[in-house]
Amino acid sequence: MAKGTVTPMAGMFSVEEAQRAAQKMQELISEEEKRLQQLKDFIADNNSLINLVRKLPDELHHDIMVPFGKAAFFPGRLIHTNEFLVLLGEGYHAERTAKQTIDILKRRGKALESNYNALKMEVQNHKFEASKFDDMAAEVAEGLVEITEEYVEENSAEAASVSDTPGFSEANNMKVVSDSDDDFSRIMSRMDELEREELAAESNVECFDGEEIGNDSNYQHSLDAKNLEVMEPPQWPKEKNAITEALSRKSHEAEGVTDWLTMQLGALKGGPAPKGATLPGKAVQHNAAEFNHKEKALLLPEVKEGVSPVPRPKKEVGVPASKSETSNRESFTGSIVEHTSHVGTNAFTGSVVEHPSNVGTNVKERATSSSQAFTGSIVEHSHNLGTDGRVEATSSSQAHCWTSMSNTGIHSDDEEMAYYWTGE
Amino acid sequence: MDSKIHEKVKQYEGFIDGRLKPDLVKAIAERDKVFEQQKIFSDLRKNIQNLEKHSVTSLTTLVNLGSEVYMQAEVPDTRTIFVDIGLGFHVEFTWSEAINYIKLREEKLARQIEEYTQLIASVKAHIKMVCEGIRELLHLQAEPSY
Repeated sequence: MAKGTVTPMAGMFSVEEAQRAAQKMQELISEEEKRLQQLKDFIADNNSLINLVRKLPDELHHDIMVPFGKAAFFPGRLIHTNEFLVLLGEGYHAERTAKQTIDILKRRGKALESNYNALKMEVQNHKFEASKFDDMAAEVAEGLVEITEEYVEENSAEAASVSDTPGFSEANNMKVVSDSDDDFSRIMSRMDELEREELAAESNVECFDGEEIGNDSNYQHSLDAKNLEVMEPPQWPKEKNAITEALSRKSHEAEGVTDWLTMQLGALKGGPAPKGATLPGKAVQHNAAEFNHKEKALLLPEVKEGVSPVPRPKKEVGVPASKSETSNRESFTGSIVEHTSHVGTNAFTGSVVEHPSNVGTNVKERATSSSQAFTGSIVEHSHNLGTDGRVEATSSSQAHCWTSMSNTGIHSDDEEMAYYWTGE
Repeated sequence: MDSKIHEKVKQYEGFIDGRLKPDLVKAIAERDKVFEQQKIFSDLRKNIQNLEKHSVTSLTTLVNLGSEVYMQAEVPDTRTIFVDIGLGFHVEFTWSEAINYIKLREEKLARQIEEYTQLIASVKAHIKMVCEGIRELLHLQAEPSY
């Protein structure tokens, strides 16, 4: 059984604290808005003064009521209508003509405006923070629970045998995609799509989610992105993997899957025209088997590389295996969840949960790794998970650190996927 | 018994903080405003007396156009002066009439200040009384422990 702890979010941030924080932000915001209003008034005054100074030299004299203290007036006249005495600060005055005075006032107005704009940005930032606090308070009130489990690696052999057993026996298990025909056909169709996307995306390589990972990886990502849009429901589990892979890749610079993909493409490019050739198939199957290792290979700190030779996965098998001994999860920040029809789903903290149709209640354990690096969660509800999926999905979403940066907006028909991701 | 006393103490303290102290603050603020007015009129009076003494007929001043931008202004005839008598009215006075008026005004203001001072004193007395009450309760509380 996976060891894990369930900590209610209310334990981490109490409802009152969250609300108090939100309240404090509100007060801060209201103060700043007052200052903002003040600055606006200053600017308005400045502008009206500019207009006045512009009009005064039109006449030689102006008849006015000259104030004498705060409570008395003398009737009198304004004379020397082109001479203005401007206070420069620190007790210094400058006698200037109307035009020069207008210039001075305009410069003052510019300074005021820049202050005003800066303050406005501040207010916007604080408003955003306040809304975040509100959300957090709401979530805590709902009774969200954070589940953390240790990440235990498992190799393919075990996974293959385990894949038949209901439920997870280990956290973060990525069940091996066995060499079933289903997988193969899926992978093949995926290959087709990749090929298509490759051709289509040749000219417009765009950064997947705006994060820079490197040309090849970007390319892959753009492919993935397009794949997501193009894919059909049967492809869904695969695509989900791609999504998670892409995302985890992006965030954590794991190159395992990228390599796998580039490998596939390389195989496609180098291989014979017929896609149904055994070479890609073999590579696919082989890679499918290696896929989980690749996912585990996310631990590998190597940065993404370009197209890697096919034999590479073999090499990597050993490495992840060894690495998997160590169950420290500093580098692991996402998990790629791949599911065959009879396999359960693995998840990292706030795992990406893929639920094939017959997983049902098996998908119970949310393998949340205690990776320090990961602080987001990908929550996926599938229609056939029923309540279980729902519960875990909500419970595994952690909102204490998320940015909208890597929100790819991926969505499939039936599921909602909420992506919470840190920019790590 | 203890709990009831604690409750009462809390109640008294709440009353002080919630009602009496804000009253005090408000009264002091109003009185300060009246002080200001008084100062303004007293300054005006002194100025007019000055003018009278030196028989100043015309003067030039610097008029604030706003944001500390000044312009020269000339007062050719200083014999009449318009004084603010309240409610947005300004009345044309000669110097002696103005001085008269200002004297009356100052007296009125002094009376107002006196009223406010009394109000402030009564609020302070209330606060003191409630404090005493709390102290008594606590003393009675402490006695049995002797």
